Amino acid sequence: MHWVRNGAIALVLVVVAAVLWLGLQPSAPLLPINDRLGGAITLTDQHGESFNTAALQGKVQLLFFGYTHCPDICPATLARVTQAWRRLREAGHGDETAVVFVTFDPQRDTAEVLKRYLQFFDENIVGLTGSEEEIRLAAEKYGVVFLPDESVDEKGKVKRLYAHSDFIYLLDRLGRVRKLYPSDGDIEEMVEDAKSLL
Amino acid sequence: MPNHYYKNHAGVRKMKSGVFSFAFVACSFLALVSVSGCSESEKSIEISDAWVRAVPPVSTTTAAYLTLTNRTDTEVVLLGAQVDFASDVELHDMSMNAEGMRSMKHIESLPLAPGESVTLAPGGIHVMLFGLTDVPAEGETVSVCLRFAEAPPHCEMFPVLREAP
Ligand SMILES: [Cu+2]
Repeated sequence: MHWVRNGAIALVLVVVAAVLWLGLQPSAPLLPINDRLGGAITLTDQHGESFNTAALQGKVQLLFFGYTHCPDICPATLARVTQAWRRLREAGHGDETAVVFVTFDPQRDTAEVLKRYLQFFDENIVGLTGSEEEIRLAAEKYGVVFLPDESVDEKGKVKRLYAHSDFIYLLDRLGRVRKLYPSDGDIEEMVEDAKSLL
Repeated sequence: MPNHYYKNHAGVRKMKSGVFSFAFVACSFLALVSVSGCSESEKSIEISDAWVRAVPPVSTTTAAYLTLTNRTDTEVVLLGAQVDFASDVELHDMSMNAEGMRSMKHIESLPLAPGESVTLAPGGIHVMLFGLTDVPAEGETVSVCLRFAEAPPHCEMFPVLREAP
């Protein structure tokens, strides 16, 4: 009976190897469409104008949520996404790509604050803010959860931070979610994935 | 106390050897240009890979990162830090819950056994700087004074960078 078991094991190994081999193929396979997340959102951009992300149709987009008082994750994510975008522009895809940053801290992140914050990274990033309700709806569409986390220090000063999910979303030309990256996602991977959608 | 961050022995050992070789090179170099420093620093608290994140001028918070190595014979406990450009400084750790939500948590102290090394880096333990009174600009260096339970404060110049060095 041993040969039966060995044969079965060999078969499993062949299948596993085939799956791994396929998975490692550099020619980017079609990125699946995530139809549970996404959709156009209407908020206010950093210039104080109403902005519907449907206006970005035709462009491949990198979108993520954060807040400007975030000291660690958000600036790091912005820096990475900006770098990926720069690579795409250098490859001649500037007109076909966009980066969108949505704040979930509208009290502090007014259009003016967003404008000055984003200038540091790239003034062409679309920065979006709005009412708490508008932002809650936008976050819901992308499955983004955020919770204010307030603490009061010895001097009685309130510090407001957020516990939050921090994915980066890759959207295709039709605004459909095609991939999620962690906030420290690989820049090269984002660039290659974006290119595969162009 | 999130012990797993710095009680991971494989990780710590790996880190230690890196810091030792860095210290060796640094000391040999110092020996060429000055007479001070190295014999003393063998028995002290060592800081390497230090940097402060460059953030937009409109920011109110930023963070400092470093690798800290305890070269003394006794336990050293990091309590926090002091800088002249932020009103408030806390040691923070980052955690992620089941729903994928990340949050920062204030940690009161960070003990290091003799010979132990801990790395404060983005996405993990960091020195959180609140209430920036003067936002340090990219390319500057700023003084950060680490506070310890027993040892005197240890001040060092940290470069202000957009990304980890
Ligand atoms: Cu923090």
